[in-house]
Amino acid sequence: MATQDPVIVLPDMPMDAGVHIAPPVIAIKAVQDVLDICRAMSLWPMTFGLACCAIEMMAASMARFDISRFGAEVFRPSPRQSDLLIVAGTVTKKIAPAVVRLYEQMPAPRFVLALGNCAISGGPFKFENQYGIVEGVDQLIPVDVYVPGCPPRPEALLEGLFQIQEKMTGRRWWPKAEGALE
Amino acid sequence: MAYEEFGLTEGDFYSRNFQKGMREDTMILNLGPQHPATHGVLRVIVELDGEYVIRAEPVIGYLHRMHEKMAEGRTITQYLPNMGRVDYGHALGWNGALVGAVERLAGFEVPERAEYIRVITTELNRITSHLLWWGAFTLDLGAITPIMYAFDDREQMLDILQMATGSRLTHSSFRFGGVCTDLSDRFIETCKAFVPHMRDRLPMYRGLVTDNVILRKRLEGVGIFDADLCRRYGASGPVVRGSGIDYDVRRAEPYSVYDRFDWKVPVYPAGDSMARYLVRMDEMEQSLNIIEQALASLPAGKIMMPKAPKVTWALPKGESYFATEGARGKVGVHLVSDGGKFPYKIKLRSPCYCNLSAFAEAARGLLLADALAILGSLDLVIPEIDR
Amino acid sequence: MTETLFDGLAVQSLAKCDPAKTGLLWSVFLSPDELLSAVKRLYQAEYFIEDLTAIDAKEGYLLVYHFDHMGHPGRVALRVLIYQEAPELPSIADVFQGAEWHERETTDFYGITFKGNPNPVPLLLMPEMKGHPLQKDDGARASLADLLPTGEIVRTVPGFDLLTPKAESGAATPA
Repeated sequence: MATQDPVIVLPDMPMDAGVHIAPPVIAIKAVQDVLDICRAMSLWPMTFGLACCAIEMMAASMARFDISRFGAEVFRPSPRQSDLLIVAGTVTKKIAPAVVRLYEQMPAPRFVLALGNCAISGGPFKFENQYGIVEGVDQLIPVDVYVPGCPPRPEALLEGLFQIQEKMTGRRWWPKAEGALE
Repeated sequence: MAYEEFGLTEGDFYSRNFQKGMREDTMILNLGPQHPATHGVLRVIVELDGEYVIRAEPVIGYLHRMHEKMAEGRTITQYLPNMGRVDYGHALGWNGALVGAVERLAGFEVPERAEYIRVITTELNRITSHLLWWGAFTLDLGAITPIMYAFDDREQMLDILQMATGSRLTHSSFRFGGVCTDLSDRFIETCKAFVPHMRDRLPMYRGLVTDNVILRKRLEGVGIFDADLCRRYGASGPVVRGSGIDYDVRRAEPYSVYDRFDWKVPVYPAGDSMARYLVRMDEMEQSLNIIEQALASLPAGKIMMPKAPKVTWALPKGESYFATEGARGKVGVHLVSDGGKFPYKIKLRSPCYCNLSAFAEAARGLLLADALAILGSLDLVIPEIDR
Repeated sequence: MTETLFDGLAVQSLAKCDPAKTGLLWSVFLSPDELLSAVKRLYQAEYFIEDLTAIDAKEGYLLVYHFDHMGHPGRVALRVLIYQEAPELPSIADVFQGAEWHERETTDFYGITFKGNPNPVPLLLMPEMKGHPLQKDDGARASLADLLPTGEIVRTVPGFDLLTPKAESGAATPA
């Protein structure tokens, strides 16, 4: 302690890139299942609208499509306060470090939804000799659900949210649309 | 420099570049590229003396999607959907610029009915774009209600536009020599009923938001753009019309059938953010006038020219430039072709790019909150800036 | 703009074009030394800068500056030819500050240096990226005569033949 510079205080714990996940306080499956349902019914997305898909994400949070019916209306601008990263738009190489940094700042359990063709695979901007985009955000961070479309309708985003909830809790909670594919 | 003394290498290339001209007593703040109030992936580095902006530098390129490189590797017909992605807010304005440049180069004549359809859908798109701007801008300023109303009206219009263009957002319904689908009776009926409904909503927006004393205090006198600044940076659209200059591409370089309708170009002299705001609110009303008149006098006929080009059609040799009035300003497409399969070069002239380049000079000496009000009043759409 | 706007300047070629076919009213070829004087004249005549781009052709890089006027619309294209071996010319950012961004973008895409640009760092591309994406390969370049319209020549210096179609594809004569 005495050797530390009095102006800058460095943290004592080692700073390596590993993620430290604490074991659950109560390791009973039934309790964890209930907690999973609570988390799924109240996901807090982060506002990470990059391009056109961001507008459909905004439309999904407005009164007509109303994502708050399914619990996910608390959009937070800071990753430290959110648990669902909706990557809405094209990820360029210039912004790739920021995407990874934001993902790393999110506390676990965290989920990623790739919204739109650009976030899935580069979309319409994938061509021979392309020099600027990352062909799919899953090249940078792990993705849980992919929602295709250019841009996908807000209903598709809602369906993607249902898939995340299904991934978290093991079952689907909302009725399927009439005529939906299995 | 304080940072180097402690051996810390803060920031990245752009913030280190910005630090070079820094004063001793100021702070550098980095806004974005992920930020709720920068309307997309825009980064602004500001040097602050307390709350006052001494120097600002927008850093762009975080959504550079290589549109100009793609143009050199696709046939011109394959390139048309790119226009919807350049500016998703007013996709049909960019559609119009590209088809206009091609039709100008190739000498195509567009049938009258197709021109009317183009005008109706472009003006509907302009209103949806202004509503999106209005909701997002007031949200930045702290008003959470207007965006709900804006999106309500916008959803009704997106349903109408979907009948005519097939999509909600990134429209690509223009074709070289016409448009892709005709207007159905249901479209005409719904659109005719919608115009008076929207007209009734606008006074409510005025009473709720425009005349609101808080909004006026935030916007009046903030971010004056004078005519000389507009010319030095090439600003256009509501930015110059809010500075007292009567310049609208639909009147300056007439195209399509706008000259057949009776509509005004709103111009406000103050040059501040409030003037730019009022210009856009008035433009919504003028667009409704145009749509109403166009629907009333819609001619019968074909929607594509005879012998329309196929997907593999190659442009003739030559160079052409076409400008349209987008919701954000003067959209330009500069097309150069050597007669080969792909265009030789396409340069996209984006209005937001030029409007944003004037931000650094206009924001000097203002409070940071005012600088963000200026950013909102410029109506930026980042994919258009970065192309 | 009237024909007298560029009186006294050594323009290489001044041509009037048909706006309905090309979108341009005037097309002016200049040397890099005359560029700043021409731009200053446009500023004093209250033109605004529309855009700035480059065309990578066999003869070299042709910089195209588009200006327009808000009161009397009529597009002016200034064209400056520089060679691929020495791609640099003066910046006009002192006169039209908006050109700073246009010039940085042209540097990003073509590697052209603008002497005097106040902030010559990459604008759209990543600073770490090497190479200039819109440069063309040797085999893919076309000749300017195949690309640009001639227009109605008002005055030109003798020997200016950039826009005359070449008989054979050999080395272009510098204008």
